Amino acid sequence: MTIDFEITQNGYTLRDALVLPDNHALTDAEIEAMKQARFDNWYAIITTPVEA
Amino acid sequence: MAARYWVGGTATWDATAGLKWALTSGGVGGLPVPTSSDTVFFDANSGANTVTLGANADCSTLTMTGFTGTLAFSTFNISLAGSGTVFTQSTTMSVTGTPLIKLTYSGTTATTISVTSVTEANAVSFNITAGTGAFAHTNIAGIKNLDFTGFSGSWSNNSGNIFGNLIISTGMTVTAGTNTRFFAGTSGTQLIITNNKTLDFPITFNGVGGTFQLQDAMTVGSTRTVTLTNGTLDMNSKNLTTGTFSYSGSGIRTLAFNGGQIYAVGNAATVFACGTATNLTITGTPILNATYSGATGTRNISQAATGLVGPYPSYNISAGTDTLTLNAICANINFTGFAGAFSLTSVNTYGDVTFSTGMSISASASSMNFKATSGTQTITTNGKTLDFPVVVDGIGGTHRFADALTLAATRSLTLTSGTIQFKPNTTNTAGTFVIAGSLSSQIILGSSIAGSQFTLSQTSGTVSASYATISDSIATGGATWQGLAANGAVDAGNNTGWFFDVPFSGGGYGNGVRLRSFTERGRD
Repeated sequence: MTIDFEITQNGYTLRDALVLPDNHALTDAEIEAMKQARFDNWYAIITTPVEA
Repeated sequence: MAARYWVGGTATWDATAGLKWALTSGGVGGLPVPTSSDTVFFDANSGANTVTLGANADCSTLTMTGFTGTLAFSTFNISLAGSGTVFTQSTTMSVTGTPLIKLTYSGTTATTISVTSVTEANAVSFNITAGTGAFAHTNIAGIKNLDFTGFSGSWSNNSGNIFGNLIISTGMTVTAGTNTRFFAGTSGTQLIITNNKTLDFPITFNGVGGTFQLQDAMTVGSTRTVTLTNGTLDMNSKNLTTGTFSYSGSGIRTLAFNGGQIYAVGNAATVFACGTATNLTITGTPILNATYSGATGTRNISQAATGLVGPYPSYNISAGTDTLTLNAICANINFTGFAGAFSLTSVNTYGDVTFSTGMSISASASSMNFKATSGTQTITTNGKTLDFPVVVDGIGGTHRFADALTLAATRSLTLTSGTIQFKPNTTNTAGTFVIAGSLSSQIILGSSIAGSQFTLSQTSGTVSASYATISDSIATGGATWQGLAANGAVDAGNNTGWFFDVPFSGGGYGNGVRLRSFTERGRD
């Protein structure tokens, strides 16, 4: 199953999805935490300059 | 572990051993059907025969070097339990059906598949279902689907074509490298799931007729380039983040945003490169974000228009103290957050433009052209002096300045068509104002709040407005401001500082003797 989500923080919007097994046993809180972790990871990537 | 060589001619690989399997190449058949501990070989001595799977098959490794026949998978698959080089595919052989090989080794030893130069027609899908070691494919690989679900090891960086889906597992790692992986399917829709893993290698979408659809957000290494050469990249409402993004060229390609956006975090490079837009189609709302937040180098943005079908991209330059150059046909440009130097190469914009308070603007003789032909576009300078010419040329469009417009003393503001609105109580300065409409492209010059005046200021010379209907303006600064009826200028009221012709009461403009008037306190 796919859970599309969108998080906007600090002016940046992540549009992403969690692709999970249909029989996953994750709680709603765990799913929300996964979404936030995705955003935090992405936000760090786009705001931390890695120079060529 | 024992070797099993196919010597069964055209036959079915199933539970019946018959005389199909030999101990040596071209040897005498009669050995048992291979098990998951046996190494299986198809080679030149197996002949140009068709071997059809009659059921799911097992072996330790499968080597098909030199085989010139066909392996017909039908709907079945082969499980390989071994490690090391577990599969070698010949470029002289063919596959049919739905070819799927499962790599089930669960240990720590590396596994490799040798699939060099395999074509799309003969590409096999691989499920790597277990293991904690490294998985590699040879360079210039040809693979259909590559599904790592269940795999917890690392995926080595090698070059190759993926003609089908890519599924990265949550537990695996993706090794960085400079070898490019190509998504190269030429039909259907290929799905990409990255499960929050950064693909730290160059990626090229190059499948004529193929569609590559993101199933979740895709992040590529910050020093890598994603290239769209052929096919459709369907963002599917997901973000694509990369170092730089290139979609230039002449291949038949489509960028389908569908609610997604592209982020380029790179620097000292052309972060969005589309110098040639031949055969490029853009769908959805294209928003391209340049987010590098450092100070090093020059970022370039290049967007051509010739050949482009669909909307022009909008750009957000949201960070950085470096230099950014823009050579683009685009919609909106938003510099909010950018604190570096902006160097204009060439810009035609059809949308809003917002300069940031912290940025600097380098001198340029090239103009920024506002070209929208519909709707209202807002230009916000945030107090910046624009040291380049500005041209407003959009028949049917409205361009509204949200704050005072100040051009450098050597720069001109040229108005040639459309509606131009200045903010009330602002003084708008240019080295030269050119208000030059035409019969076919009239100018409506006024205030963004009807009845509230704004000021236009030029220090010397004469500003002669043509084919312009002017209202709510205070013309000042030392220049002579005139609107000749013979040139199609119209005093629409509430103007100060202009010389306007006054038409005959019973006639049109511009014929015979005219009176002249000087507007001092509103409409005379």
